[in-house]
Amino acid sequence: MKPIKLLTLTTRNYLIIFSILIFLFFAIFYSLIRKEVLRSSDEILYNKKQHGIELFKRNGGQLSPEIVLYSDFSIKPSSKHVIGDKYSDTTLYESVDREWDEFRKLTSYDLINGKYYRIEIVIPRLETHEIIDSIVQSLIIIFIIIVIVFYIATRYLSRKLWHSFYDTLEQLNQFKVDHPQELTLGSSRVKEFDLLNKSIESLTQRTRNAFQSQKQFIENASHEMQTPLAITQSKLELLIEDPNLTEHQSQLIQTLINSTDRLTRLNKTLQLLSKIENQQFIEQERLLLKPLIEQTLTYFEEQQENLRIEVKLSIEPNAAVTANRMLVDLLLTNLIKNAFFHNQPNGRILIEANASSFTILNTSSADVVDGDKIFNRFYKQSTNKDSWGLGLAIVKNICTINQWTITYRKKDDLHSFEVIF
Amino acid sequence: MKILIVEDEVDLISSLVAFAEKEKYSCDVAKTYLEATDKVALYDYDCILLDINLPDGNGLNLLENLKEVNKTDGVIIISARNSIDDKIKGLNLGADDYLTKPFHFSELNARIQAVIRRKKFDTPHKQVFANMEIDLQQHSVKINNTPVNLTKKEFDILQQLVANKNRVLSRNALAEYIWGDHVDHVESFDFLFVHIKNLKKKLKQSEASVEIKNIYGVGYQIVEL
Repeated sequence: MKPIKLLTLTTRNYLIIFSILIFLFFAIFYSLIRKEVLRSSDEILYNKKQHGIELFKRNGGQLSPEIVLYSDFSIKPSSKHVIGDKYSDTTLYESVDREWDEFRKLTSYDLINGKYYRIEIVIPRLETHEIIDSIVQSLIIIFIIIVIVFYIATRYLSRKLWHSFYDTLEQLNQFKVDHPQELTLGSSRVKEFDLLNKSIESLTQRTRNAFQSQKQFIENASHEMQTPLAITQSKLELLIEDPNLTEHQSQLIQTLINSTDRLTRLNKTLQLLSKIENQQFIEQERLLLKPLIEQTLTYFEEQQENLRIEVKLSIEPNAAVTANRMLVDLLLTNLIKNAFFHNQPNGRILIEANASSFTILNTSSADVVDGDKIFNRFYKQSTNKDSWGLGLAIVKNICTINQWTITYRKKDDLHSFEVIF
Repeated sequence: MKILIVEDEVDLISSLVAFAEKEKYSCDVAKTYLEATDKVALYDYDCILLDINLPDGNGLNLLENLKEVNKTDGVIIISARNSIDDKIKGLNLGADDYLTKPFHFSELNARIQAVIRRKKFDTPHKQVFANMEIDLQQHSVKINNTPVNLTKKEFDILQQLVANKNRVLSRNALAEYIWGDHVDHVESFDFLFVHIKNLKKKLKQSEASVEIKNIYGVGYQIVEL
């Protein structure tokens, strides 16, 4: 599910609550008003009845002209011997505007001068739909005003209130554990945000420290290894020159030399990674890719011949990048080396380069490669003991510090690495 | 040919001294910064192998002292601190070269010879061995004054062998020299073997009075017949 902005979510929820409240308000308001309207009509009816009976009595059981004035007043002798009032709603056809109008009717049975009478009085009353209409109208206006005011207010207030939160988010997004600048979020007037900022600051500080000490450890360890390695290597080189060695002994020494060599190369590679991460390759220059690629390919002539690999270049002659020469060299060498070493007999390598990208595609005997892990240190697919799985980590690092992107893809039988400058 | 080894690791000193003796360089050793300052003040050296990290001072300071008296010619810094800053600083202070530990003797030897070539203007970029003449600038080889057609890699191998004629050149050192750090060593040994086979053939055809000897499968050495 796609995440929703907090502000949208709050606004939406508040609007739902508002709608429910307004509806409830309407129901209560309507029933109260209606009750009040009926009560006041009934009161008028009652008063009219009393007034009519009074006149009737005074006139000695005859309808006085005054009573007749009330066109909606009728008094008739009743056969029912009961006394009581009954209020009810009725509709009468109004011929003028040709519609049924709502009226309130009082039907009363009363004993006047010893005789039973049935009295009927009707008065027009405020109609239900009119009540509803007017309430709905006013409520809609109120609702619209509330929504507009609420919308503007939340936008404005939220922006103000959440400002520091969004600031924090923005800065966190840009935070890099290996960046020399530590993360400072400053303080917020809102207590919760202030706390949040402080927690994040201390968390990132701890992460940075852990990262730094790990990096420092690798650096120190590889530095400390250099002198012992130099001693071992020099002694072994002196030893193989000893003319009294037997063939068996010299084979043992060769094994030692090979191992020392591997250690040396691992050591150099780790230092190189540290140096790239520490951004110690500062000098930049404009480098033409074509000669660099062609030069690099000469290192792999033997592999090319041996495996009968077809190498195809499509490089724009003036494709160039501005970067550190050594790093670009390393990047190309590692990618090209990768394409050769994971290739198969009679395979292909395609190299494309232009001003904005460098792509290398190769056939390979390996079919599945984990695109996420491929750039990790010491991740390797081959069982080759001479490979450390550091080449692509170096490539990734070089891309990162130059703000280039590198993507690995597999299409048909071709594995491809694309660097976008 | 006189060199000064400024280094505090005793085990490495003994290796370097053995190396220098084999190359017929006369050498002096200084184990501390103070000792080194004394020695460079008293004697003139053709080449100084300078370790930057000394127990009682920074080798770069020694370089500064040398610069004041204009004696920085022929200084090769040997450092475990593989840092670009030090390298730039060192080279700015007039050092000739910078070598990171660990290194192959053949590599060190090549650098020392380059320093010597730079210092002695009368031997212009040419190495002569038996009836061979190697031109380092033209990248060409003549045997009995007849040019021999070698590939770049064959030339590199031959040149490195001749530069290290007094010792056994290990396959690892040779492979690293030809292909750099980047090439798979197991594979490159096979390729190296092929190149050397071709090189031997060409040398024989051109009647060179040298032989590339395989030493127990560990390394190679060029000898005069």
